[in-house]
Amino acid sequence: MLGGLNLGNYIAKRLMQAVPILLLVSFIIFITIRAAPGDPVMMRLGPYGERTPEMIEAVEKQMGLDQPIIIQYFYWLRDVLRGDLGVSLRSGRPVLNIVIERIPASLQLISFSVFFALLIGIPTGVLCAINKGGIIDQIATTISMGFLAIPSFWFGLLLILFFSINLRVLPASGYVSFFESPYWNLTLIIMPVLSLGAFELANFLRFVRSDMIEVLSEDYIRTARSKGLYKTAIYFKHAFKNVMLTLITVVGMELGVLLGGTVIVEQLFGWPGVGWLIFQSIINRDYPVVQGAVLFVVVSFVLINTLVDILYAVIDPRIKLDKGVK
Amino acid sequence: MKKNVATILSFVVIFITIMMALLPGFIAPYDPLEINIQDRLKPPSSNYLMGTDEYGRDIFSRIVYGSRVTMFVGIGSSSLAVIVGVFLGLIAGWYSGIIDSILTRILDGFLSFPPFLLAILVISVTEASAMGLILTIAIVNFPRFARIVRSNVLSLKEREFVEASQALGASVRHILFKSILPNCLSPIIVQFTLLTAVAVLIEAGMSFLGLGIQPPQPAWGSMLHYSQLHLSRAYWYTLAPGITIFLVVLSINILGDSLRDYFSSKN
Repeated sequence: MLGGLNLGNYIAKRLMQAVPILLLVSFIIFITIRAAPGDPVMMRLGPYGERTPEMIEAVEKQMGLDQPIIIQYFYWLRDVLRGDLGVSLRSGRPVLNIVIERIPASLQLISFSVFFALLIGIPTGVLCAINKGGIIDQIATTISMGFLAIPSFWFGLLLILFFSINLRVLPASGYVSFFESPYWNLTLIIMPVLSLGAFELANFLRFVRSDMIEVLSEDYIRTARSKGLYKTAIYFKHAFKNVMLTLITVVGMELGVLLGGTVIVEQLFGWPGVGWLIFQSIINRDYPVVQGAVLFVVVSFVLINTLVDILYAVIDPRIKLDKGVK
Repeated sequence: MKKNVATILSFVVIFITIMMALLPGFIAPYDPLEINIQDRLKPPSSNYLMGTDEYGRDIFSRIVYGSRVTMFVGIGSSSLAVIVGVFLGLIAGWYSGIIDSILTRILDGFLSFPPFLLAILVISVTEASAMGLILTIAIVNFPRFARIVRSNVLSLKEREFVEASQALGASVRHILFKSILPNCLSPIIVQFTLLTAVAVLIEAGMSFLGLGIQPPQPAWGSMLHYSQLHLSRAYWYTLAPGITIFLVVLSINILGDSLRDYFSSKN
């Protein structure tokens, strides 16, 4: 019923929706950092090099500091869209380069954590749903309730206490690039992934469980059962397909928790990603870097969720396209 | 049955925490700031229930006093968020059209941030203090209240009792606060509980990073921060505040879930 045109329309609409959100988000970041103590001109010029009154005046003009704040924002936005995020107050290097260097480590940590949470969360959730009320279900639900309340940083400390201090099997912290030494990279990532992924594992488990219970009670599953298909085939083909669809959205939403969590977990384990960069820059009062890094993370988050919505519409032809667009 | 037991236990945990915050002097055996160098990093004993920290301060007493920060910031930030959020939600829901779409867009903007990242961003420009934390966490949480209230107002304003008071010439303020607000209290209460748990976690996380409560004032998160340095010699130093945060957050979550079940069974 839905032609390609309709889907195309939906994608265009959804992309258009992201624009005001991105504007607002960037405006909030802009305002927050402008509220920070310090002279915006100095932040722009950085700590090094000579500065004559003419230079300062030129920068003031370029930033529109004599204009109302909303106009200043558009000056700033113009620079950002050109890829100019300013320079670090500490090193004098362009913020964009500093952020880009940190992306691979964070990307690896986050993707591994999502993968880990899904790998354990989905099968356990399905198992719980099939044996609803049974012993496995009760144990898993109780543990997941606990994981939802454990602060990631304390869980990380417990892991260090157990694996590094008591058992002495894992180094407490550090980072080696995968291309340098795959073995050490994977050894060092174990504890960060566990402490970042535990919360999401519990989240995915609870979600898959409740969704699966609901789907299993629906008519078409009962029809399939009555037709005498193998039980396992029913669970994994029909019901699971359904659960996966909604799971995509959940993973997209939960990415926000993971992105926030990297600030703590990366700092705890000395994992040199964007989260650690944000933390270091706050301690150093290096506001241009804080602003640039936060902007990068939030924009990625908004874009990923837009993509997830589009992906969802592409995969599931039943989606009511009008409903998706508020 | 089992659920009731969990709810009661959670209630007890929260009650104890509140009592610790209100009357710390009666519960804590020592002054939380008292330094005792000869007793540094002592394991738990009958003298020191949860051991001592690197300055020989009694960890149990510091946890008791630290509950004040947790409760003050947790309840304070949720209260501030609920006041602002409810107000904006009522306005957005009642006045549809341009006011609603502007407000909704602004709320969407805030909701598009990863929560902890927004908190980090705000705390970087406010001061690292209890008041700074309250403001920060309220900024993170108010859009969640506003969104819930808005959707409730949207459905409530079509109901007869609202239309009736409108026909009787009641003022908008009267309708919003006397007719509509009392009818969306249950989702607000549930959200208040769950977001207080979020607030406790954010506060602990901030203090753990050194961006929250500053020493020597005791806070659970900053105790964990300093326990890192002594992890290999003093496991109790990291266990006590960690278990405390865990129990409090877990209890608030369970209470929130029970409240939700209670309200949904009532309707």
